[in-house]
Amino acid sequence: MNFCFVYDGSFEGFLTAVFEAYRLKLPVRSFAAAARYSPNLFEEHYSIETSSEAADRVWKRIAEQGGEFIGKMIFASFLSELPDVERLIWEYLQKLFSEDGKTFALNPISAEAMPLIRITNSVRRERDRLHGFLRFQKLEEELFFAGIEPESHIIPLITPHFVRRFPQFSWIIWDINRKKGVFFDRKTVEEITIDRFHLPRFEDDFCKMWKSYHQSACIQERKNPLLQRQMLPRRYWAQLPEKN
Amino acid sequence: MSITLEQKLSILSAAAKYDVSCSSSGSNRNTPEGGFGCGAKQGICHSFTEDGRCVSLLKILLSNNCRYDCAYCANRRSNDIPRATFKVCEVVDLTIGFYERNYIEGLFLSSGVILNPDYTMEALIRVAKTLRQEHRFGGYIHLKAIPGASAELVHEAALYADRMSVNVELPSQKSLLFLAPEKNYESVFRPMNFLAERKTEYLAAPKSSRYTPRFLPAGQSTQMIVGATPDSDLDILRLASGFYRKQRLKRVYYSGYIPINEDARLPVLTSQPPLLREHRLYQADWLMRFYGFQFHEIVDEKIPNLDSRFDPKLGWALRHPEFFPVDLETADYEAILRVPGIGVKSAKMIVQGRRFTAIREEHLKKLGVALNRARYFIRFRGSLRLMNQRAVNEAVWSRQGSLFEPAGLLT
Repeated sequence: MNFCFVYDGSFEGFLTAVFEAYRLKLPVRSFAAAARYSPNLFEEHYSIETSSEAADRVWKRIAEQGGEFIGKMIFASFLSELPDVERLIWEYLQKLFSEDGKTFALNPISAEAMPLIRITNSVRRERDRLHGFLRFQKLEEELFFAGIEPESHIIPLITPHFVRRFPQFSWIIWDINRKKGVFFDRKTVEEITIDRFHLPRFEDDFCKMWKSYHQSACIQERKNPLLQRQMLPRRYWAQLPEKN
Repeated sequence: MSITLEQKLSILSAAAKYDVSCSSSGSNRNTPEGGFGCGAKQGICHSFTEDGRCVSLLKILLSNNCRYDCAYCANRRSNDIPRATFKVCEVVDLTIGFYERNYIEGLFLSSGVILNPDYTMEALIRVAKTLRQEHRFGGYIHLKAIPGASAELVHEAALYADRMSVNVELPSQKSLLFLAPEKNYESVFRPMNFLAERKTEYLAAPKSSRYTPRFLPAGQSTQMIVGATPDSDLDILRLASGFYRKQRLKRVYYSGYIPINEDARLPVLTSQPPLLREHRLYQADWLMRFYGFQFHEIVDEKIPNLDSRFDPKLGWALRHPEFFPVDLETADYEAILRVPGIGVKSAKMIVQGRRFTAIREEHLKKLGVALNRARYFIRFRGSLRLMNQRAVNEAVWSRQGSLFEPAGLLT
C-alpha cells in the first residue's frame, strides 16, 4: 500500500509530515496540501497535524546536513507550489538525511538536486521580478497597497525587501489568487487572509505621469515588442498601471 | 505660456532616452535612519518599454537647454525642439512619488549644459543633496559628471551619488572633435580619472567609522555611440578594455547610432540603427568582463571587426582549433568557460559536480548547456564526438542570428 501524507499547506506542516514519515517508518510516496488534495483509490491518505516542534527538528537537521544554502533551496522550491514538488523534496531529503548526506549536499548535479535547483531558480527569478514589478497605490497618507498575481507563493520571499525599503509607512501586499497577504504597520509584519477582498484601484497624478513617462522613454526606432514580452511577461501586466 | 509638470516630464524624459545606461546595480546603500529607500546590490528592473529596454531609474534631463551643438545629439542648440527646465523641487517630488509606488529604483539625472559646466553640475548636486539630506532618501542616484565641471564639484556630486558617468560619446578623439567640436577627450578623461583616483584613495583609507559615507559605491560607467563614425570594433573594444582596466569602470555601454539629425557629417536619416553590431559588441564586452578574454583575442589588426554571422566566442573557438576539445573531466574552469555554449553558471556546476559524478550528456542538457554548439568542442566520458571541421561548419551556418540579448540588461 502507498501512503500519501496530507498536511495543512504550510511549510511547517510539510516538515511535520516529513518528521512523521520518519517516525512511523511508512513507505510514503507523496505529500499533498489539504487544499490541493484529491483522494486516490490506490493510496491511503493520512492527515498530519502540524507541530512546530517536529518541524523545527527537521529544519535543524537540514541545516546540520546541508547548511543554510540547502535550507533556502528547499524553502524556495516548496513555495513554487508545483504539484510534484513535495515528492521531489522528499526524495532529496531522504538522501540528505542518509549517512553520507553531507557529501551528497555538495553535489549540484545529482539526480535529486538538479530538479530542485531548477525550481529554486525559477522561484527566485519570480522573486527578483516582483521586487521590480510590484506596484503600490497610495490609498491614503502613509498607507500603500499592492496586489500581485505570482505563480509561486512568493510573499514570504519578497516581504523582507519591502520592509527594508519602506519602513516609513504602512503597506499591504496582497496575493490576489491565493487570497493571502501581509500587512506592515511600520514595526511588524502580520499575515492576513480575507476571503472577499475589495481590490482598490485608482489613479493619482503620479500614476498618470508614470504612464506618460513609460511612453516617452521608448525609442521608436528600436521597437521590439517580442523582447518586451520576454522581459516583462504578459501575466504581470494586469497589475502594472503602465500596461493598462 | 506656462508648461505643466507632465509636459516637462515628457520633454525631458524623451530627451534623456538615448542614454542607454539603465543599471541600478552595485550599491547596497542601507536605508537611512528615519528615511526610506535602499540599494539592491544586483539591481532591479521595474518595467520594460516597448523597445525591450529595462526601466530601472527615472531617467531625465534637468534641462535640454543646451549651449553645445554636437552633431549626433537630439538636444543640440541648432535643433528647433520644445525646451524645458525642471526646478530642483520638481525633480525631487517626482523621484519620491515614483519611488514610493515602487515604479523605480531611483534617479538618473543628466542635463544639457546650461550657461556653463559648473552651473549645470551645481544644479545636479542640489537635487541629489536635497534627496539625501532633507528627505533621507536611500534609493539609487546616478549623476552625470558634466564634462568641464570643476574637480571640487565632481567630488561633491560623488558624495551623494551611487554611480556617476561621463560619456566618452565616440570611440576616438578624432571622431569626437569632428562631431562635437566643443568637446574633447581631455574634458572626458579628466573627471573620469579624477573619480577613479579618489575612489582608490577612499578604498585604501581605513574606515574611520561605519557612518563614513562610501564614495561612489557603484563606481562609474560610460557610453559610446556606435556606427556614426568609421571607427572599427577594434578601436571600440580597445578603448573599452582600457576603461575597465585603468579607470576601473563598472560598465561601458554601446549605443547603436539612431539618426535623429540631418547633418552632412553623419549617416543619412533613413539608415537603420546597427542593432546587430551593437549586440555583438555587448557579447564581446561580456567576454571581457566575465569570461577572461582580452580584447585582442576577440578582434585584432587583421580582423578589426566582429563577424556579424556568429558570436565572438564561437569566432574565437573557430580560429583556435588547437585549444579543443576541452575535456570536461579534467580541464580548468577557465578552459571550460571558453567552450561555445557553456556559460558561467553551467561551467561552475560542472566543476563542482564532477567531483561526485562522471559528467554525462544528460547532465549537460539539464544544466542548460547549448549542446548543439558545445558538442563539437568538448570531450567527456562516453562522448565519442570529437571536433570535426565539417560538423563545425554546419553548426555555424545553420544556427546563427536569433540570439538577441537585450542591450540594457542589468549588472
